[in-house]
Amino acid sequence: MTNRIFSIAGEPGIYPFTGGLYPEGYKSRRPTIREFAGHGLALDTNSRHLMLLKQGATGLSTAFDLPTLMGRDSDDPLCEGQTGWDGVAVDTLYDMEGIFKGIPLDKTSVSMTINAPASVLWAMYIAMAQRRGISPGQLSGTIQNDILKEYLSQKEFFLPEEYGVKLVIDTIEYAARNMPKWYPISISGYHTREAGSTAVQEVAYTLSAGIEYVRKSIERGLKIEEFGPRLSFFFDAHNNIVEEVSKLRAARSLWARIMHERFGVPISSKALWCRMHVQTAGVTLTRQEPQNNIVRVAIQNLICLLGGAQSMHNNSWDEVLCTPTEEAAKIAVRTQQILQEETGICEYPDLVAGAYIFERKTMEIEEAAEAEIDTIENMGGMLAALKAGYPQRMIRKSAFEYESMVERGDITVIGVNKFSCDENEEPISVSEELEKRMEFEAHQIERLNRVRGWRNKFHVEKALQELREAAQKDMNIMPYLVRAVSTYASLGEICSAFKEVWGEYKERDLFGSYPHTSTMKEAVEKYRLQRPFRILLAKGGLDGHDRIMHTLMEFYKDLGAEVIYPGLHCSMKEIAKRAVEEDVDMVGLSTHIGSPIVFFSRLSQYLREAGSQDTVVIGGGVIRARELKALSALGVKKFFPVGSSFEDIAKFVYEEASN
Amino acid sequence: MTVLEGKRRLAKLITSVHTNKKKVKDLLNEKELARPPAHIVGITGSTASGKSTLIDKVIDVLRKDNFTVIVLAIDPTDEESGGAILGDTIRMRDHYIDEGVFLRSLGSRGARASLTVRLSELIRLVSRFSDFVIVETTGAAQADIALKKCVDTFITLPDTRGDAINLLKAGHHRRAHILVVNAREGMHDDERYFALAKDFARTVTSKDGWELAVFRVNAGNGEGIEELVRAGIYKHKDFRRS
Repeated sequence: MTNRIFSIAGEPGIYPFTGGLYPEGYKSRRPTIREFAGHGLALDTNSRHLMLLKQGATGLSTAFDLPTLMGRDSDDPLCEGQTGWDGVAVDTLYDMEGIFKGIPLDKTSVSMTINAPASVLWAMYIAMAQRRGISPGQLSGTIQNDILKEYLSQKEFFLPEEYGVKLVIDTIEYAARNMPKWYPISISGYHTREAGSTAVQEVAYTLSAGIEYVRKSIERGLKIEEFGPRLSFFFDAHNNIVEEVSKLRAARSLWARIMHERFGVPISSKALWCRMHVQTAGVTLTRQEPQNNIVRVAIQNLICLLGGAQSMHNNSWDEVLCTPTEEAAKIAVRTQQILQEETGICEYPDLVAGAYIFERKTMEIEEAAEAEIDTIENMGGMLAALKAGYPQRMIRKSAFEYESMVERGDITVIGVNKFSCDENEEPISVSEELEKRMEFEAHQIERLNRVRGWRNKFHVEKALQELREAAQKDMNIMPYLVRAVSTYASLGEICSAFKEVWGEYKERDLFGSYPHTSTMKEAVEKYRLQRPFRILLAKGGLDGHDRIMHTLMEFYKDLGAEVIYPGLHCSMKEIAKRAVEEDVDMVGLSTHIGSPIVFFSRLSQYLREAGSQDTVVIGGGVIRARELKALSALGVKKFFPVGSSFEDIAKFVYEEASN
Repeated sequence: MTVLEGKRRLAKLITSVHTNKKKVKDLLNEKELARPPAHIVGITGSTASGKSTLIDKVIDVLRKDNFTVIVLAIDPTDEESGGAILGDTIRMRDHYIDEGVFLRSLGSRGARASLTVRLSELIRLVSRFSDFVIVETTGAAQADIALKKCVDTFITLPDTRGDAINLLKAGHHRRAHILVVNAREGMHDDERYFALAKDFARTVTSKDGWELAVFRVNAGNGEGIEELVRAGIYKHKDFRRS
């Protein structure tokens, strides 16, 4: 009996690869188990990597903390409370060396989730390998390095768009010339989906970005055969089985067609391949009854396999509460292994081939995504569309629709809007982990100062100067970066050099108009303020999750308050100074990433130093049960966790304004 | 007293005048009232003409020359709710931490002509606390000449999408001391508009003999701002003093 399976949309191994890249599917090549890991200092992450390899992970993936993702050193005032918190802190090559201690770089495929400063971290990785006698050509792995989606949805950036893209093309060129086994980019839809886009938008905006990178690489003088096969992709696995499996098939097919039809790549070329890493959807995990997340992740992992992904990451069940504990990370790996080894799913390629519902959905998504790509292309491509704010607006709209559906109960979330429970004890493992994290900042700054003490200052200065000159002359920056990091110049010093030459990204589209839900309207009418109560609304540190800020700004305005928003990326000192000068009645601080304890204690301290201890401080966002108790001791009058009702917020503000 | 404590006092005083309708002479002590008043610059122009960004860059130059600056940035109050989103200072974020700069946002609170209630009294107050005061209007109306009465140097930013008719029609440009043509990103005919504005300036005469000055800048990248400050604002300041 033949195991050829016929799909109306497209067979595995044959252009346009709807059913998979390989004719035999996972029978010929098992998907890579690539678990994302990183927290604390280099050595904490090193031991996690070693544990994962020991448990049978087949690739590594490093998560960096927010200061690193933003190209800043751990002692930067903007990084307070965030060092080592959501990933590992890297300031210099010394940290990179610590992370990969004892790991054979020529035998391990390493992925790094890093974007705006990806070229710098990659240079550190290359420099580290060279010191161990391994040439760049022997290294295999991936850097995420998709700057367009940072401007689109993730918002971790620091350079103007043109220079952000220039750095990406530098890395693509460098890989094409020197590192044939490396994927210099993982063009990502994951963050766009997590920011609230639809499945169709996820495919459309990701592939539109892909088109932009191809075009820019060709403009640089590269041949499509040199870099095309080394472009990789990164998608999200959300809850809806039919839609998500079909989405992955549609993306694969559409990319092959784009490369063939728009760029003339022959159908025998690997440059047509949409190789994809897929991660389970973090946004679907719930803080309520968090162990239920194990089940959600398992199902989403099944979706990855049915969709024909090359590489997969399973979220850990506790990562809505903190970066994964060791135990939870192990369950995530085991889930992948159980699916791959116990269920027989890897025996056949494209299991959904011929299933009418899947086939039809695949074609629908492909068609709709292609139409949206044409819209973007007609605007002059993804870069131009981003500058015009078009895809951002579309995502914002979808996100709002999704939230409204959850609020109305049209989308069910078990334990949240259906079968919900009252009590949620924080798991002990999470509490212990959080305790440990409070010390990261001081230790990392001490580590950085040690390096600053023993490195050769003359060499550092010279290398930075050469880097500035290369940036001015518009040369490929990679060789200069490898030299600069080798002197133990820090990430922050290097990124500052870039900013000196190229300028800094300034946010646009700051004050959009945001639709109101019916519950917001009711709250506004019930609790209209009787005086212009002044509120400073701010975001803690480098975090870019600002959608809620825009919603709250309008909400408070409609209540009758005067709202001052200082923008993203303010230090606690800046927020305190703004609060003083604006003489606000209340400061509302939103925290999502990093330690709320550190944020609020510093803010209170600076307000006290300015003599403004009478200003009411409230908070909102992500908080753990244990932290919540500590906050009232810090003088935080109220904290509204994610999911608080607008009515409760309005009532609180009303009472404060009436005092 | 730390610098921030001094700022806190000023911030509270502003609230007393703006919200509680107190008089400056009842709030300040004699020593404060005896200080030489700041030079007051008023800036107006239609929405999105680049006022806040221009102010941001003007502050850069003033700070380089070691002057202290207070900004009063006015945004419209929503008539229905009485609330407001005060978002001008976000363009001046490079100065948040600067001890020599004080940024204060004000809702218009029902005032006409894109100003705020009790503006002249507010200016009287803050003028005792810095070398320069910059007032930014909401930019909603063309009738901002009311601002001219409260300030020393009156600057307008014409809408560069318009033509000579728009310049003539909007009376406040005729009353300005300085016209700023903001050549924004993606604007191709700023040269033409600059020439047009200079032609317009020649038709304007003022009672005190000051000739309407026209500057071309790019508020986004700071081009032309030094000249605007030195050959425009400082020059007008000296002119008024002589």
